[in-house]
Amino acid sequence: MTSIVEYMTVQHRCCDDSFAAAEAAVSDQNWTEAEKQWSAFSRDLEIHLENEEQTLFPAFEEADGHTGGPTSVMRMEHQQMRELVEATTNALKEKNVEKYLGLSETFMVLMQQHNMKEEQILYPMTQQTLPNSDAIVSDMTDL
Amino acid sequence: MNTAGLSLDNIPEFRIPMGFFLTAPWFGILASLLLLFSPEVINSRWHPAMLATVHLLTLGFAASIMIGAMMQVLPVIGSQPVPAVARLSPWIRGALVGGTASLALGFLLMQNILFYLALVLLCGVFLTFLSAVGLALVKVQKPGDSIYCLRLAALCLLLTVVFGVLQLSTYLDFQWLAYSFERTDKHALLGLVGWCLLLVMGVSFQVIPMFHVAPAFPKWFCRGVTTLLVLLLAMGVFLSDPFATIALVLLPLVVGFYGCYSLYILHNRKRKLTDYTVRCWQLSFVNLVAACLLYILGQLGIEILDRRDQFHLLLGFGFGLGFVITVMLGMLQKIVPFLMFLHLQRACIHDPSAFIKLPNMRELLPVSDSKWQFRLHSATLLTFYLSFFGGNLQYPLVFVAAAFMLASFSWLFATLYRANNRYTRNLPRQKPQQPADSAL
Repeated sequence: MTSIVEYMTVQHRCCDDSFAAAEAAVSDQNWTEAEKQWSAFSRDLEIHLENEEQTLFPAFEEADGHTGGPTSVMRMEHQQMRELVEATTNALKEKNVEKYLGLSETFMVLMQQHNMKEEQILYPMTQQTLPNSDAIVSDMTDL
Repeated sequence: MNTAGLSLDNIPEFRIPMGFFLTAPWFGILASLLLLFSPEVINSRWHPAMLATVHLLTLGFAASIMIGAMMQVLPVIGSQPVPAVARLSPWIRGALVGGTASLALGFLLMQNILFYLALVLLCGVFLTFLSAVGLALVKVQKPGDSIYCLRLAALCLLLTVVFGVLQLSTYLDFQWLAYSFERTDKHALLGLVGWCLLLVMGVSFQVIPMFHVAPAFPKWFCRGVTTLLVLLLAMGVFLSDPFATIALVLLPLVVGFYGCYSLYILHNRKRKLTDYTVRCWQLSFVNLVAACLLYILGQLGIEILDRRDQFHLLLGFGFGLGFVITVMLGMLQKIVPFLMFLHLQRACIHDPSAFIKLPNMRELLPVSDSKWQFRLHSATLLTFYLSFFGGNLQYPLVFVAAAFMLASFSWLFATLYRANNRYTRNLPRQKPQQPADSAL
């Protein structure tokens, strides 16, 4: 069975793929491709965030005993990412290359440091803490 | 498990790394001026002005950047803050400035008092820095490949300092040991291949996949190359012939393999946009591989320059300016706006509407600034390389290279200064709220 760490890390890499493809398409001003890749990214990212917020984090918070732990920092960063998705979507609608690339550069770095913290600290911690990690993985939505 | 790394409260205040980053270019400017006004120093690596130039670049520029970066990087990749970083950093920075200036002036004026001052100040800097960083590195739980590299780099820095202090003591009134050219070579080898290369390796394993969405460096590669490099370096420094010679023949093969593999990883990155940090990484690895090839040719007895001394200088410039400083210039273009954004983000973590008004990374440090940095540094490297093959035109070419170098370091300062102003303008006026859970 896939571990929490593996399952969630694969989702991160999947989001990276569509994100990079959308950025490259905007740079080439290929707007049809950019919209296709960006909507794939936005959809996948939202599924991934919901997997964490509705399945993984509640299970961990229940096992850990409180809701103000490390998951609260991750939830706040999720909110920031959602704000950035909205701003980047607007830049895409405006077909503003400079604005889009400035936002996507920031988004990429923010997302990567968030992912690094999850992959190196939070996911291994949930894997260790949750006795039923297989059931948690099967409850989550695939991308 | 340690959850400190999840919290943004764990990272030091931005003024701490930025203080080091804003100090460093001034030493690059001073080194450029020395070369500009006395291009004849290119004649010998033992010329006092050349020794001053090299230490202005290695201690004043490179060590400033590396110390500032270590203070920032450890809490992020190791979840361990450097102890007492806010209290220590002004002292470390001040003593590094004073110690480097004293050492450079000591070489130029040959005054014992300046060497004594340099000895005290630089020993103070590195002992304090290494104690604090060493403590943080030891405390990292479950160290990854980067931390493994950084631990070995810190050890090499300690040895570099020991060899440097021993050599410096020969300029002073202590009569315990004689000056040794071999000791200088070991000091340079430990400093460049031990401290600088291992630190760059440790950082590259983490940031190349992260910033450029490139494939991860495989574990066998990270551990294997690092371990082999350290073993060969230790053999080259501490064993006698034939083991030392064998180690020093194999060492450039390992280093060159790291350079080639990193170019391959960068080539396979998913983000293919024009990015001057990527270009700097590529330029630096090409320089690294070229320096390794040159060294191997030299070991095989193939002389590409008439004078052995010039060959050593060419290698030093290729590795120091071509590899180490190129990496730093590239990383600053990415890390500075990233840190600024991280700190601005921290200031409005509870206010998403304020967050969205923050300037993005390209607005904090524009791509056009990075582009000119890359061009000026490339021109510096090209003219320096040409100067070694310029015959009668060597001095004029060194003069031109020094002028480009002066422009490059001045541009770096201007870029960082302007970015810092943009950051300060965008900081919220109110004190940032603390996250709900102070344990984080």
